[in-house]
Order: sequence, then structure tokens, then C-alpha cells
Amino acid sequence: MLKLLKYVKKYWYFAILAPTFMFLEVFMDMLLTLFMEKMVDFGVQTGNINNIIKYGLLMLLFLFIGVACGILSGVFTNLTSFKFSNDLRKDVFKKIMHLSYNQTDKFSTGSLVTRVTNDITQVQNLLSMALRMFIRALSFFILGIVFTLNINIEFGYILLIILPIEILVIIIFVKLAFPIFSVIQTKLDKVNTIVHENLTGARVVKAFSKEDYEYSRFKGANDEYTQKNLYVGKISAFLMPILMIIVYIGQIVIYYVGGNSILEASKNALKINDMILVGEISQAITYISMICMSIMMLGMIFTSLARATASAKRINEVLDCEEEIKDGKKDIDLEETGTIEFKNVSFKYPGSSSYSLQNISFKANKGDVIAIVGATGSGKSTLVNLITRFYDVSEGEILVDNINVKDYTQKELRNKVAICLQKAELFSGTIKDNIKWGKEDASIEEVDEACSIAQAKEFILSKEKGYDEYVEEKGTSLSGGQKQRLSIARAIIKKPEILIFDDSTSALDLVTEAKLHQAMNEKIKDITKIIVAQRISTARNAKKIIVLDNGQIVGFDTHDNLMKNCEIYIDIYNSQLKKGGN
Amino acid sequence: MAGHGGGGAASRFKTQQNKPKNMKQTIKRLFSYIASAKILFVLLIITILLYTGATLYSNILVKDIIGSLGEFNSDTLLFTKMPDPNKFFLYLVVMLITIFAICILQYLSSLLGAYISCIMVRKMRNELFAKVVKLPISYTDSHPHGDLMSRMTNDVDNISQAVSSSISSLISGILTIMGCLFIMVFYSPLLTLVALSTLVLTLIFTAIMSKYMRPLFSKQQKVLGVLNTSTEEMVTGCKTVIAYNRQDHAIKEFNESSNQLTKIGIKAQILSGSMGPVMNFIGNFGYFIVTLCGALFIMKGIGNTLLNEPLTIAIVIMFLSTTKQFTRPINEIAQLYSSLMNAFAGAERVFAILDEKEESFEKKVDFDVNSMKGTLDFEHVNFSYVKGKQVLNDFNIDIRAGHKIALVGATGSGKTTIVNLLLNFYDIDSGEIKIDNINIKDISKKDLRDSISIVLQDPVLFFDTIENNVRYGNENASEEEIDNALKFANCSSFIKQLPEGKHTILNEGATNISQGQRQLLTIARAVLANPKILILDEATSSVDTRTEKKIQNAMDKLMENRTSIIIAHRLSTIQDADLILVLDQGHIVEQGNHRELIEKNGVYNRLYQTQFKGIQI
Repeated sequence: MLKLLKYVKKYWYFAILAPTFMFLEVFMDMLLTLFMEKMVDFGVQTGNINNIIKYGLLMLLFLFIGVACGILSGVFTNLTSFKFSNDLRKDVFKKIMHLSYNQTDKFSTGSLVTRVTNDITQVQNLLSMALRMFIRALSFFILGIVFTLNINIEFGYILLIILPIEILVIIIFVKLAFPIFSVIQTKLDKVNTIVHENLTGARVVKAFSKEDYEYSRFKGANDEYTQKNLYVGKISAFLMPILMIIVYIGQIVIYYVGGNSILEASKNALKINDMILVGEISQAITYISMICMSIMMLGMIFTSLARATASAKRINEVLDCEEEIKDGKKDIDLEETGTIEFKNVSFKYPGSSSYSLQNISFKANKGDVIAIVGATGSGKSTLVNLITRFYDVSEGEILVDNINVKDYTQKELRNKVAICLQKAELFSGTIKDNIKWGKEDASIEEVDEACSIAQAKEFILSKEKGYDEYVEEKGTSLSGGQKQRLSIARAIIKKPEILIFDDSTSALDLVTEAKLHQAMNEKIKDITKIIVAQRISTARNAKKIIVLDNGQIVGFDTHDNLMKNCEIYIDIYNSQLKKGGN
Repeated sequence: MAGHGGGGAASRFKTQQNKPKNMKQTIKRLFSYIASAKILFVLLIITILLYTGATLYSNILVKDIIGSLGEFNSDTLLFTKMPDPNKFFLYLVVMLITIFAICILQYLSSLLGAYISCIMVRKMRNELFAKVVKLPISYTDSHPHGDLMSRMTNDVDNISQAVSSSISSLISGILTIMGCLFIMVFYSPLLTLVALSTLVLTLIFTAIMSKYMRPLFSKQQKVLGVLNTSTEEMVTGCKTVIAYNRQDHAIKEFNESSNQLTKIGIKAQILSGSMGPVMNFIGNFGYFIVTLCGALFIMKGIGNTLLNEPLTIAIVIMFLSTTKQFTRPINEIAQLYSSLMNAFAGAERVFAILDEKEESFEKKVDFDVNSMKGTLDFEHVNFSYVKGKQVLNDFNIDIRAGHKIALVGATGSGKTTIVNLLLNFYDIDSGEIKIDNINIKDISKKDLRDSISIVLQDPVLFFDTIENNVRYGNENASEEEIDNALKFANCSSFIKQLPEGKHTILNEGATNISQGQRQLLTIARAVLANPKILILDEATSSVDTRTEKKIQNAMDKLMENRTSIIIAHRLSTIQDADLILVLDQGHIVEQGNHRELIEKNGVYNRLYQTQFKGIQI
């Protein structure tokens, strides 16, 4: 948490003003009570209207100052906390946008989203609470004690007994209830998981006629959740009455002490100077309630502190990430374009002990079509992810246009190389907007051309608004095949030197896929293409095919040659053909 | 405490409409839930009544204690009225007893509130879930899951909150206000009028403030929604953002909405933050006025009690503390109002689900799953998901028992629809689907579904052990049968590598195993179910072809003597089918076995050629 304080630094003047005004507000509140009671003791009790008006006007003055301070403290608190969180949020988002794939995988995107949204809100709330509530509670606590002692030192003894008990009770409660809260959360998660599963998996539940079984599963989880909730409910029910009874008993003792001094004075006129006035008694009672309230408030603040600290920790984890992929510095002017060369490349995922890729060497020239085939987990996707530096090689080097990829700036490299990812991700906006991701200033003709190569034109034009059709968040309004084609168009419009398909046609039917490849051969012949494929039919007409097995190249040749001498390739071919063939 | 678990991203950002439409009906129904804890609820009401009474009484006691201390003139340093020690100690003891009573009653009311809300909410959640599993697929298909989830968690939690705390606060608040008013009016009707004048001020101020605040807050909510949605999108899609060099663009957009949120947030919060101090001002101003008028009234001898006794100092002091007690619940009720409206709106959404029509499991004909043969007929079936958009058009198939049928066609040609209809997930518009020559409408859905096993393209697995997931197919299966099923589906090898073998718990979405492995497990589950009819919908699409080949023989064995329907992209898996149906936009465009279709040289042949020969690339 402390680490994040540097974001407050910029607004230090607000951050100082806010608690100052808060302290003043509380101070005015205290004076208010003081004059209120004076009004009673010297005005109402004596029937002195002048005193009432005098103290009343003073009271109103302090009240007025207090309100002004209260509002100002609110203004400065909000300025600080909102500006703080704005800066922090921007920094965290910027950091996330520059994380490497490896780091993103480690965090998981879902958790990153929570960090930018919920966690920052938590920390912001804590800051505004610290600036306001905490200072308020603390001021009440300290000023309350001072003012109480000011009335009569004997009341101090009462405080000395009440306060420690009060604090102890709160600590015990926090100790008892806190662990349960996290248990409740996991129980609730379980309830949610079962509901979620039953919604997404409704077909399977019904197909296996498992409605009753699922109900009993849910009922079990729900019972456990309810039980834990009830337990906390029971403890919480105890808390308030116990705290209150301590406060009440304190009040009675004050009545007793104060009343006794009046009784004494009424019997013995000498003691009149030691007498505690009726107004002072009610004043002390008000102060003691204030002090005890402030303790409860502090308790609450500490509970939320625990939660916000967890959030702060999660935010810091992101901010502390070091840039893993460093930009090269060369400003490069090149003659040769569109070549890729792998030289003895090996790669293992960070934290993994075994190599995902080993000793990969091959070269592709301008305009070549290279296909990569292999079983799931053989390293196909990993290989292409290295070209765009989503990950950096562990050993060896990759050259694009004869220059090590590490020497380019990432921006430059990714301008040369376009990749269609396995999972076609679209963003909310029109179809046109999405395609223009590849090239911001593309004309409508260029968009049209790219879509027609990607075999997307037909379905786009069948939409009501054509290219201006709105794509819902994450493209939920489109089918898998449509999303893939749009993501292909997005890559094509970039007119890159190198185009990589990472299994990006899996949802297309065969005819469409074939048409796509045909169109690419005609229209964008000069682009070097690396195609990761599941189907032999996709791969077989590539200039050369890389056969991967367990991270190693076991064949790099044309289809015909591989059919003669690469066992694994033949195996894959046969498995797809099975008993077929003419 | 209310978490968002698996609620999905979208639900988190949804701003719900919080105005109940039919309050009366909703409240009536809510009470029927409370009725399940009737005795507790009656006890709760009694406790609250006693509690409020005791609290009010303690106020009167304060007056009596102070009154018993006499009156002292601090100018003349003389007692104008001597204190009465006996009365003083008596009242102190009564006060002590009263506060014990207050605290015990407070404890009891929280405890009862917690019990009632737990009992009620548990019942409501269970009913909701029972409803959810019995809703037809057409409902779950057409309603966002995030919304259903949020009804189950947030809405029910809101209701629980309302029952456990809001109701008791509301009752005690109203009682306190009434009690205070009564005491005030009793002791001095005139002074009561003075005290109430500040209340009017409070109400006017609140009305003015909320007029300014409401649009600001709804704007803040909207901007927050925009920011959250775009964050969600950009962060989950960050790989694409990076691949397209869009980081700067994304950051710029994010900064803009973040700045906007900050601006509006500061405005809204400052405005709502000033509410407190200003209310405080009004309250204390009232205090001053009451003191001033009280003193004036005493001197002028007006503002007598209802019993026409003169106003005393003790009464004025009591009046002051009562005024304070009186304003607190008024502020509280304003807050309670919004949380109660929230709860009612939530209850309405919950009841809306409970009122949905369930799938009916009635049967007109007895159907013996064990002795069935397994013929399937579609006769002149017409079907549409949305009226006017026909998916199946006069659809006919005739499948003999034990045959293997393959469905081929592009996405959207209606293959999966046939599965939906066969399991009676959706009702057909016209025509008949028959199993063993019995219309499936006449068979209980349970019997129908027990006779059919499905393996879907998107494998559905549950947060449970592998063993239990497979056991899903047949609850009574022995350990050995499960092992055999796992072996059969080629799962044994990867299960062996898992730390706890088949007792490994799959996490949500089964992300701890690969997609291919998930598919294999669902196959094992279908094997264990041992059905007469088997449907494989792209069951092996994510299994690589070499592994697929390995399990192919097992699959063949599985399909022996069973009627099976196979939907596949890869034609290699279906070449030995007894009948291949080529679908296009809800029509059968070709049918026959592999050889016949190849000879026909039509759509199927073209598909086949592209797959195996490959068109030039």
C-alpha cells in the first residue's frame, strides 16, 4: 500500500488539506457540544435569554465554520482520491498493454481486468476513507478524551476502563469473524460455479436426466453457504449489544458520579465549587458516545484496510513487472524483404524444465508458402509466436529480412509481420472499424478488397448495414467462422511482408478455406505466408511443409517428398484419410 | 460479502433497473416466503416493538434522572429546587435494568433477523435452482447467463439484506418516530411544532439535492460502464492489441474515458459528500431553535403539557435529546427506502424466473428403455427457432435400428438442430419425430433422454473429480466399469500423468486438461451410459488426427448394435456410415452411402475432393 503513495505525492497539498479540514470540522463539532451544554446550563437552567442567544449565536458560528470545513474536506478528499486513482489506473493499464505474452498468461486476463477495475476502486476507497473517516474517527477519539477530561478529571477514570474493553471486544470479533469471511467467499464461489455449470452445460444435464442429481449437489453447497452465513450472523448479532452495553454502563457511571457530586453539594454548601453541572453531565455522555463510535469506526476501517491491502498488493504485482521483451534500437533500412530464417532455435516456456522447441532451423524466402503440421502440443503455435516476439527464443536466433528480430523495435517488427491468432478476437465497433485495426487510414476500397480475399465480403454484405454493421462486444453476434474471416481480413489489409495463420481457419468449411487460399495466391502472391494447419488438405500445396513432433522438426519438404520419406507425415496423412482414398 | 463468482464479466457492469413494477403483488409473495419462518417472524416483530418501547422509555428516564437532581442557578449559586437522592438512585437502577433489556432485545432481534433471512434465502435459492435445471433449453439458450447468475446471487442477497436488517430498522424507525412524536406532543405540543419546522427544512433540502444528484450519478454509472467494458475488451484481447501495434491507441482511448470518469466522479462525490455536513447544520440549527423557544416558553409560561402542567427545564432537556432521536430514523428511512426498492425489484426478477414454464416430464405412453430397438423417424418435420426463419423444412429421415448415420454440411445447415429436436430440447412446429415408432411427444422426456447419449463438440465437464464426471453417465457404475470406460476412450494414458489420477478434481471449465482430453472424457462418459442411441456432435474435432485414429476402432466397437448419429467435419470418420445425409439450409440435398455419393459427383464429392486432394495453395 505504501508503495502506491507515490501517486498521492503529486497532489500532496490536497492530501494535507483534506485531513486538516476534517480535523477542524470535528473540533467545531466538539465546541458545538460544549456551547450547547453551556446554553443549557447558563441559559435554560437560569432562564437567562441573553445567555441563550449569546451561546446560541456562538454555536451557530462554530456550526457554520464546521459545515464549511466539512464540505471543503470532502472536496479535497475527492480531488485527491479521484486524481490518485485516475493516474494509477492509467499507469496500470499502460503497463498491461506492454506486458509480454508470458506475463499475461501468468496473470490471466480475467485477473488483469479485476486489477484495473475492482482493485483500483478498492484502493481509491481506502484512500478517501483514510483521508476522511480515519482522521474523523481519530479526531473524535482524541478530542473526545481531551474535552471529557476538561469537564472533570474523574470522568477520565471511566474512560480508562471502558475504552480498553471496547477495543478488546472489537479485536475479538475481528479475529473470530475474519477467517469466516473468506470461507464464505469460497462457499459462495462454489454455489456460483454449480449454477454456472448448469447454465452452460444445460444440454448435458438434461441429456443425462441429471436434474435431480444437480439439485442435490446445489442444495448441499447452498446449505453449507447458508450455514456459514448464519454463523457470522450470530457473531455479528452479539457485537453491537455488547459494545452498546459497555457504553451505556459508562453513561450510568457518569450519571452516578455527576449526580453524586450534586447531591453532596446540596447537603454541604462548601462542595458547590466541586459540583458537576447537569449540562456537563450530558456533555460528558455525548463525548463518551462519540469516543466509542469512533472506536467502532476505526475497527471498520481496519477491516477494509485488510481488503484494500490485498488489492494494493495485486496492483503492485502488475506495476512491478519488468519489461520482458526489450525493443531493439536499430533504425533499419532494408533492401531484402519478406524472408524468415530460424537458426538453431530452442525455446522453453519460462518456469518450464523441458524444451517446447528444439534446434529449429529453416528458411523461407519472399513469397514462399510454408505450412506447419504436427499433433496438438507439438509446438506449432509456439514456433510462430516466436517470430513476432510474443516470446523470446531461449537459444539460437530468428532473422526477419536477415536481421535478428531482437534488433527491431517491436512496432516495426509487427508492422512487417501480421499474425492471425488461433482465437479470433474482435472488438465492439463496426465491421469496418475492426478491419481498419490492420491499417488505420485504409480506404473503403481497401477494406472491400481485403474482405473479398478473406471470403468475408459475401456475409458482410448480407448484413443489414454491410460494413457499418455493429459488432457486439467480443463479436458475440458473429459465428466462429465469420469472426475468423474478419480477423484474416484485418491481417491482410495491413499488407505485411509476412503473414502468419496460426490455425486461423479451423472454423471455416473446406470449400471456403480452399477459396481463401486460392484468392490469396492470386491477389497477395508476394507476401510470405506461414500457415499452421490441422488438415493435410490445407498444407499439402504449400511450397514446403514443416513436420513438427515433440518440438523438433522431423521433416521439411514438399508434400510429395514427405509422403515418401517422413513416417510421421504419412501417419498424419493416413489418419485423416483413414479407410478412404480412391 | 456478495461476490461475483462466475457471474461473467458482463453482469458486473450491468446497471439494473431498480423500480419494482408491481409492488403489491411482490410484497405479498415475499411474505409467503417469510411465512416459512412464521413463528420467528412474529417473535421478531414482538422483539422490535419491545426494543423500541424500551429505547423510548430510556429517554423519559433521562428526563427523570436529571429532574431528580434538582434545579441549580449557576448565577446565584443556589439550588432553586433541591435534588432528591432517593428518586435519583431509584431512576438510576431502573435505567440500568432498561439498558440491559435494550441490549438483550437488540441481540435477539439481530439473531432472529439472521435466522429468518437465512431460512428464507436458502429456500428461495433452492427453488430458483430447481427451476433453472427444469427450464427448457430454449430458455437458457435465449437468456444471458450473466443475468440469471446475478438474479441468483445479487438479487437474492439484496432480499436477504432487506429481510434481516432493513425490515427491523424500518419498523423500529417508524415506531421511534411515532413514539418520539407522541412524547413530544404529550409534553409540549407547541414546542413540537417548532421542532418539526426543521424537519420541513431537511425534506426540502433533500429534494433539491437529489434533483441535482440523480442525473450526475446516472451519468457516472454510464461512464463507468463504458470504461469497464472497454477495459474488459482490451485487456482480454490484449494479445491481438499487441499483435496489431494498437497499444498506444488503446491507452489513449482508456485515458480519455478514465479522465472523464474522474471529472464526473469528483463532481458527484463532492455534491453527495456535502449532504452530511449540511444536514448536520440543519439538525443543529433545529437544536438551537428548540432551546431558544423552550427557554422563552418557560419564561412566558406557554407551551404547557397536554395535562396543562407548566413546561420545565427537565422537559426541555428531554425534548432536545428526543429531537435528536427523532431525526436519526428519518435519515435512515430515506436510505432504507432505496435498499427496500432494490430488494423488491430483485424479488420481482427472481419471481419472474420462478414463474417461467418448466419442461414437462409427463408421459402418455410407457416406454421401456431397456427393450427398445432404436429406430428413428423424422416425418415432415418443420422447425424454426425464430418465427419466420425456417431452419428445417419438410424434413424426413428414416433410420433403422443399429445403423450409423452421418450428417454433413456447412455451419448453419441445421445439423445441431436435429440433435436439439431429437432430445426434445425444442418442440417442433409440425410433423412428427418417432422413436421405435412412438411419437417422442408421448414419451416422458426422462425416458427419451435415458435412451440417448450425446457427446458434444464443446465438452461439458463439471467441477468434480474425473471419476465422478465419468460416473455422470451411469450413477450405479462400478469402479471397474469406470476404468474400462476410461480405457475405452483412450483416457488412461493422460490420467496416469495427473497427480491424483482419476481422483484429480477438474477445475471450473476443466482448464487443467486440454480440449482434446476433455473430449475424450465426454466420450468415456457416453460409453458408460451405454445407450441404445448415440449422438456424436463433432465429438473428436479437437483431438488430433493420430489420436483420433487410435480411438476410432474403439468408437466403431461402441457404435456396433447401436443407432448412432455422427456430425463431423472430417469426412474420414464417417466413410463407413450406413447413410450419409448432406444438409444445406435445412434441406437434405444428397443422401446415400459414401460410394454412392462419390459416384453421384455432387456436393459430397466436392467436399471430399477438397478435403483429401486439396485445392492448390
